[in-house]
This record gives sequence, structure tokens and C-alpha cells, in this order.
Amino acid sequence: MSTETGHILVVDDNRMNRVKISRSLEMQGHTVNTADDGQQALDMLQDESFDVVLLDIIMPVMDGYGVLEAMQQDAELRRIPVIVISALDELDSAVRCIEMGAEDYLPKNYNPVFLRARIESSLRRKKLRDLEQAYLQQEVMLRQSEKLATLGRLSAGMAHELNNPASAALSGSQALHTTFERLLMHSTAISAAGFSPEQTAAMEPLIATIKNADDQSDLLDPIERSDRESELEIWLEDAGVEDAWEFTDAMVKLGLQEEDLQNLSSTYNPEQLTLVIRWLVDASSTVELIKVISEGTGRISGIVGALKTYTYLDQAPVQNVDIHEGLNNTLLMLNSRLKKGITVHRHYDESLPLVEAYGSELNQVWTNIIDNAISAMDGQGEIMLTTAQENGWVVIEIADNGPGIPEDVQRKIFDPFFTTKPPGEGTGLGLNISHNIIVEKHQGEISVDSRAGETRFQIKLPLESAASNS
Amino acid sequence: MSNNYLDQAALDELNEVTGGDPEFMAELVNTFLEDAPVQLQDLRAALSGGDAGEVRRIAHGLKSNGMDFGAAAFADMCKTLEFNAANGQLGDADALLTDIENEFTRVRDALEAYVGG
Repeated sequence: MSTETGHILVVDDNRMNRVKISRSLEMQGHTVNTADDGQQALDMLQDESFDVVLLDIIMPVMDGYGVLEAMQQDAELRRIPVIVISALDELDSAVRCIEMGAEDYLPKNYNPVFLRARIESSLRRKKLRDLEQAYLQQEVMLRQSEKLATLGRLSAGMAHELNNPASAALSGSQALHTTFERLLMHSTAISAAGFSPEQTAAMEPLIATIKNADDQSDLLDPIERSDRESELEIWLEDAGVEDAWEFTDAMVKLGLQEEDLQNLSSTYNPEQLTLVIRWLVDASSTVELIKVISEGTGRISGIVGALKTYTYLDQAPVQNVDIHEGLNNTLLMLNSRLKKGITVHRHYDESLPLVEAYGSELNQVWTNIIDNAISAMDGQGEIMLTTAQENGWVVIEIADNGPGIPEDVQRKIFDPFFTTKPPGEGTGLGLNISHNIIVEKHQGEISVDSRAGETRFQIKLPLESAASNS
Repeated sequence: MSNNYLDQAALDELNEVTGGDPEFMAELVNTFLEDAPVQLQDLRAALSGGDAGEVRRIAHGLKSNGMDFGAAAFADMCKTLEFNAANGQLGDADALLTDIENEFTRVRDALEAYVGG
């Protein structure tokens, strides 16, 4: 006979009963603790772990029903089998206890064989539940780690995406620092030069030029541009302006030509003209640098915004989801991987209604599938996103023109822990989680159709929301 | 050892369930003999306070202890009191409790003889 032993809590208000039952159990090798009433039992159950509870029904403070009810409401305690101690003439109460979640009953005048059988079967049940719980916990941890792995890949991409605008803004602000200092010096020099009112007034249209300056040189081809630069350089040197070559590039960008300089030279003497041109050039770089900084920070703020929408941060889990927005945000998240050689085509049904769904989890699905597609195509190829409505369903297709998924792999693709990636690279849970999100959380469908040159994942979500019911 | 107030078969069974250890049997008997008088007092108090729930609970415990020792008459009387209390019929409860108290003194003597012998 197996000698399975456990930690047992005996709950009975009658001391002699407690002494007798504890003795019987200890003789069978179990460890026993006792409680005098229901409340004390619950306190002990919170503090210590027990394998079985032997429970009297009629007790002061809190009776057996109260204990069962409290245990059923606690996810941990619910797993501990409860055996109700019951006299033969109170089987009604025992039945009620079993309906409330007790596993079994023990007659008051039990014999040792009966007790042993009851306790052992409860101990086995407890062991199974513990195993099941351990398995579930492990699975939750694995699913969590898959989520983190996806997050890790996404944040690596995001870091990359954020890095360019951030360094542009940073170097822009550093350059702005020097330019601005020079600009202040020019201003001081101009004040010291004692310009006449006409000379001061003549600077106004130059300020307007700066304000309106969209880099004019982009409109010119390189030869035209260098022609203009040397034209200006020659003119400036002839007019006695020193180091003219330093400014000509910036002046062409501002759209200034020889005739503009002619006009200026009638207002300023060569020394003054040098001052004005230096001031003009540095003022325009200042404006340009501010533009660079504001573009960079704007881009950063845009990415953060997309990230917030992608994760549905600070939003309710179920809501009316714009499928296209989700797909687009996912593409943005994956941009650093996509831009190396993947063309994305979107065929969206613009009349697609909002779908009541778990937005962030749908994004997890799009991310998994698109991320897989990118890997399958080794970063080079085409991805086609199609949306449509069909008899009460929203249909989303994600297709790629990669090498395709072999047939034997296709069958297992949604199975947990199945992966074709080398050890350590994939958890084998990505598509399994996607499957659960679509099928279990949304009562939708997910399928794959694949041959060489075309792999197509189809996801169908019911228009009549099921997400809110689950 | 056998007498009119304790059933030998019940005592044998109790002995078996608890491992056939005379010392433990003596401990169990002492536990009962210590607790029961207090419980009988509580029972009397609950009865005069009209607390049927408490009467039922205490009678219930005493009944099962009585059954364990094979004190059949004692257990039966406790069972009747428990049943009546559960049904809110405490009319003759005073008299019944007096009978229970008297029966307890006999059971006590028999138990003392049993563990002492």
C-alpha cells in the first residue's frame, strides 16, 4: 500500500473529536494541525499550506459552510480538498457541503481503513492539482517571456528609429549654440557700426528672406548651383568682402543672386556689407537649425505617440478598434526591420467598421505574423495587407512573397512550443498565442495558406463582438 | 471490562482507530471528562438564554463523544436535545438536560473505572 502522507488541518469545535481524529491521522503518518472554529481555520490556511482539510459543519464563530464559501472564493485555497466530518444522520448537510465544493465526507464513527482511503484519494487529488497549477504557472511565465521577447525586438527597432531624429536634434542644438553666439556678436558689431536709418531699414527685407527661405538650392541642379556660388564669390571679392567663399553656399540656399548684392552694395560700404552678410548667413543658419531640431523632436514625439497607440496604453482592454490603425502602427513599430528592403502594399477596405476587440492583443498578432514574414523573406520582398468585410466578418489578410512554409510545418504552426528558429531565438509561442488571441478571446478564425512565393495568413473577426462577452 | 453504560464494541473500535494505546485512551477519556462538565454548564446557560443554536451545537458535540465511548443512552439523549433545538422545540429541554446530567455522572464513573482498571 502506498504511504502518501500530507499536512492536514482538522477543524472541529469539540476537543475530544480533534484529539481523536488527529491521533488517527498521525498514526497514518500525516502531519496534523487543528483549529477550534471556522475563522481560526481560515487564518491558519492563509499562513500555512495544507494538503487536506477535515471540516466539522456545526461550529461557533464560523461554521463549516462559511469556511467552504471563503475557500471557494480564494484561488489558492480552492485547490485544497475538503472532507466534511459528518454523522450518518446529517448526510443532508454533507450533501450541501459537497455542493459547495467539499470533496467527500467522513462519518463520525469512521474506521481506519475508511479514513485512510478517504485521505489518500484527497491527497492524490491535491497532488494533481498542484502539478496542474505548477504547469499553468510555467506556461503563464513562458507566455509572458514570449511577450517580453516581442517587446524586446520591438524596442530594439524603436531605439534605432528614435536614434536618428534624436541625434539630429542633439547635434542641431549643439550647432545652434555656436551659431547663436556668433549672431549675438554680429548684432553688437552692427550696433557699433552706427547704421543710418536707411541702412537699418534695408535689413528688413533680408529678415523676410530668411523667414521665407525654404532651401532654394534644392531646385537647382549641382552645376547651376556651383555657377551661382562662384558668381557671388567673384562679385563679393570684387566688392572687397573678405573670405567670401565662406558664405556663398548659404547665400545660394537663401535664393540670393548677384542683383540682390548690387542693391545691397548701393546701401552699404564694403566693410558694412561684410557685417551684414555675416549676420545674414548666421541668422539663416540659426533658423535652419531650429527647423532641424523641431523636425527631430517632432519625429520622436510621433514615434512615442504611435507606440502609445500601439500598446493601447491607459486604455480599456476591450474597445472599438480601428483595424487599419492597428496594422499601420504595427508597421511603424517594425519600420526599422521593414525599411531595409521590404515594400508594403496596403489594400484596405476604407468602409471597414470599428471592431470591438482587445486592441493591444490584436497588435500582438499583427506583430507576430509580420515579424515572421520579414524573417522568412530575410528582409527582402513584399508584404501585402488586405482588409475586407464578408458576411458578418472582418477579414484581414497578411501575405508575403517569401519562400513559403513547408506542408509538414504548416500543420504544426499554431502548436505551442513549435518553432523552426534555432534554439534560443524563438519560444515557439508567437503563433500559438496569436491563435489563442484570435480564436479564444475574439471567437475569430486564423488560418494559413502557403506555397513557394506566397504565404497568406487570414484572420477573421466577428463583426458582432464576442470580445465583450468573454 | 464491560458495564451497563458503555458498549464494549464501541470502545474496541475507538481503541483500534486511535492505535490501541491504553495511554492514549486514558488521555482521550480525560479530555472528555474535563470538557463535558463545562459543556453541560454551557448547555444550561444557553438553554436559559434561549439560544437554540448554541444548545444544538453543544448537544451535537456531546452526542458524538458519547457515541465514541459507546455511551448509548447518553448519546441518544443528547441527540434528542440536538434535534429538538434544531427544530426550535425547547419545551421539555430543561428536564431532558437534567436527565443528561444525571446520565453523565454514570458515564463518568464507568469511564473512570474503564481507564483505571
